[in-house]
Amino acid sequence: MSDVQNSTRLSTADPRDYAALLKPRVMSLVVFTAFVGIIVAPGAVPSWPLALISLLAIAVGAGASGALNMWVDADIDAVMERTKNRPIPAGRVTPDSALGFGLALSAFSVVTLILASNYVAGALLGFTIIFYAVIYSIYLKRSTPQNIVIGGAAGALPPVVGWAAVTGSAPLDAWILFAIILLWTPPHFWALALYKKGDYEKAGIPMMPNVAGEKSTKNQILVYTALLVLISFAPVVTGLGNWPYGLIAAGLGAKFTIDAWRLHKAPAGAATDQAAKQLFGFSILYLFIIFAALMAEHLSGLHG
Amino acid sequence: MAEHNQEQSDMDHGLDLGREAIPTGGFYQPTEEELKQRKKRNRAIAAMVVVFMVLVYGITMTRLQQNAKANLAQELAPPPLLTDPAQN
Repeated sequence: MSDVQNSTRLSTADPRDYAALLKPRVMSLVVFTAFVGIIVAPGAVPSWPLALISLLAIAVGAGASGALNMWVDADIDAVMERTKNRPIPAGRVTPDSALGFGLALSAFSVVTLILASNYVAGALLGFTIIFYAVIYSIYLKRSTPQNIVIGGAAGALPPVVGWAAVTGSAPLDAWILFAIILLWTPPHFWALALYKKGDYEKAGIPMMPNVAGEKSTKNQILVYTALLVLISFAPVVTGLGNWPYGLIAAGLGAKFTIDAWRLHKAPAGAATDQAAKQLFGFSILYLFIIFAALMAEHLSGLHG
Repeated sequence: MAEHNQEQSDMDHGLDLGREAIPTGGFYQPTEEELKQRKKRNRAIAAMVVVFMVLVYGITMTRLQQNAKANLAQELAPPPLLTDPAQN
């Protein structure tokens, strides 16, 4: 009886529940990095209204892939403490509705980006959505501890999309921005996975600390931190960034390395959790400042 | 009580038939809360459709303006030289 009634009842989902499906916090980082891609791309922005519409399309595309990810991950989200209140596991939005919402927004965002900019940017956005929703969420996340290393490509693409939106191409400098985010992703997510290990274990997700153990994860965090610091100087080498950016990248890289080293040396237990939280928090700030520095340099005329 | 259960069972069965698009004569009466939330969602969808329409219109107008400017610049540009001055 109750099943029949439940299946025929109208949804009581609020529009805010649908907004939550878009993962607004992730969206804000995507919008920011894509905007930096638009600003640091060579030459003047051809049309600001079109560039801003492109940015909106990229944001909606990121939100759409978030909604599709929540549709795929509904079973995992229901088990994990951090995600159990998301709209699908909490029962406020049905999985079918989330799927439809994600697909519709994906189509709208790609079409809008093609209209406002070009096919290269549209294709890159479409690829980003498919990579995140299908390759990462359906396959990688549940099958390998390298999930966020490979899957990080989806989060790293927005500056390339932004760059392509205003230039119609994606040269080496755009891919340097991509590489910075790609190499930033493992230390960022593994720091989180270290102090949320129990949560991931409960959900059966093969995150690095659950599969390879704490010690190996800490070692790998250190390796990726070193690679990140190295690649963060690439803009200075290619001319995308100038010495003010180089100085900021050096300072941030030093702090990132110190935090990663502290985590590496921290004894297991509360000390590791504390050091992992510290690294996780700083990593967000790191990405924001390093991209902001590059953007500020271009906007202020200090570049080239 | 038994009569009530029978009636309820018929209604449930009717709802199943309704799902199969078979007319049952019965209908589901949504609650006030459900209607209120549906109205909110409909308004949000309408707003999104309007935003999309405005965006497409805005993009079209901006593109037209860009093309018109480019054409004008081409028309105002001096005609190309028929002979290469370097050869004279």
